[in-house]
Amino acid sequence: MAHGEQSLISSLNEGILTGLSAIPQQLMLVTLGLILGRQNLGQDKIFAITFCIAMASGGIVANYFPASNLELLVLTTTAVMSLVLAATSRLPASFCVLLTLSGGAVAGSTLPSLIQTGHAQLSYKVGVVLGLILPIVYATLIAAFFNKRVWQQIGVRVIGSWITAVCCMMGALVLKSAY
Amino acid sequence: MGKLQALLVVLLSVGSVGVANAHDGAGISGGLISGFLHPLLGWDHVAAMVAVGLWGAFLGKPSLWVLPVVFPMIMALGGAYGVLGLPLPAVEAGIAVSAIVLGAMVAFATRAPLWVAAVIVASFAVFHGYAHGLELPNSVSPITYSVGFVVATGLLHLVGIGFGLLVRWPAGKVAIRAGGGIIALAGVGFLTGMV
Repeated sequence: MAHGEQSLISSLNEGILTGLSAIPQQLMLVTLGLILGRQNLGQDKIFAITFCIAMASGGIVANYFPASNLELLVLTTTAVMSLVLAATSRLPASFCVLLTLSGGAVAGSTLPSLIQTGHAQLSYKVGVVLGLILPIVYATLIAAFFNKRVWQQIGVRVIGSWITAVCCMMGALVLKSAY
Repeated sequence: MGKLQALLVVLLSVGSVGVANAHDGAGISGGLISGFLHPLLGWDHVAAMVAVGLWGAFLGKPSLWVLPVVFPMIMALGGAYGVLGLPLPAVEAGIAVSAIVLGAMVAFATRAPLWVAAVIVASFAVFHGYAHGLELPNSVSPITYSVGFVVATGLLHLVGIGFGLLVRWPAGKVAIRAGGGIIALAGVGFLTGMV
């Protein structure tokens, strides 16, 4: 029994680490978290529900219709999101819902490929999903907390510009290796 | 701003610029440290990036943060251009001219409109990004390399902004303009191969 629990925790940990080490996805979810957090939308249940549904839908669709070059899709989505984060201080709630839907669906679409890298235990799969959800939670909390002073708001926008820059470079590398 | 804060700003500026050394880091194996060190190891890059921060601080809000936001974003586009191996003429000259122009803007206290300043900064950012992008594919970990060099670039802007905050005092304004002049002269040195 003890060995079974140890194996469960071990595969859960492995799954979380797999999710956390998917850097393009992490960048996208951090960006989404920062966008939601700075507008104090993170506490709004509608965004959490939208994100989860979009992520699950993306995962199911990608499971039946596997696609290639998903990394490029993730990077492009991240670049657009981070550009929005850097260029604007506030967004309409409807636009935030749209971004949440896109982010969730794109993150979900990469789930099958992330899960295939490890063993097939359910705890591992749960770990991968947790690993993808953790950054958005942390980023939302951080952006909501550091949102009181002007320099903090500027700091979040500067981080957005840095993420855009990283995405451009990574996108070029992916393109170069693909073609 | 208190005296202690002013002293910290100066120490940060002087200390950070002191580590620069012309592009010796090109051969360092990839990863975050390599990417982080690359912008710091070239005087030409350091001079231009500090000048961006200085000019932004000199122009005040919103240029104070808009210019350091524009620079890395456009620099990354230039970097992507370099990674893809597309040709761009006179890259080294462009980098040297960026130090001359940006340094001169600070030295002559040019109060350009925000969009003009952003266009000037963005134009030169392409050359800096391209130079970084050319070396990126040889890195062991390109992802962390990208993160490292973008963060280092941002910190160099921050050094310039920190030094630029001295603009609040008359003597500080003179010091900043002198700094801009030194950067412009260094740019001439880069262009002619004297530095």
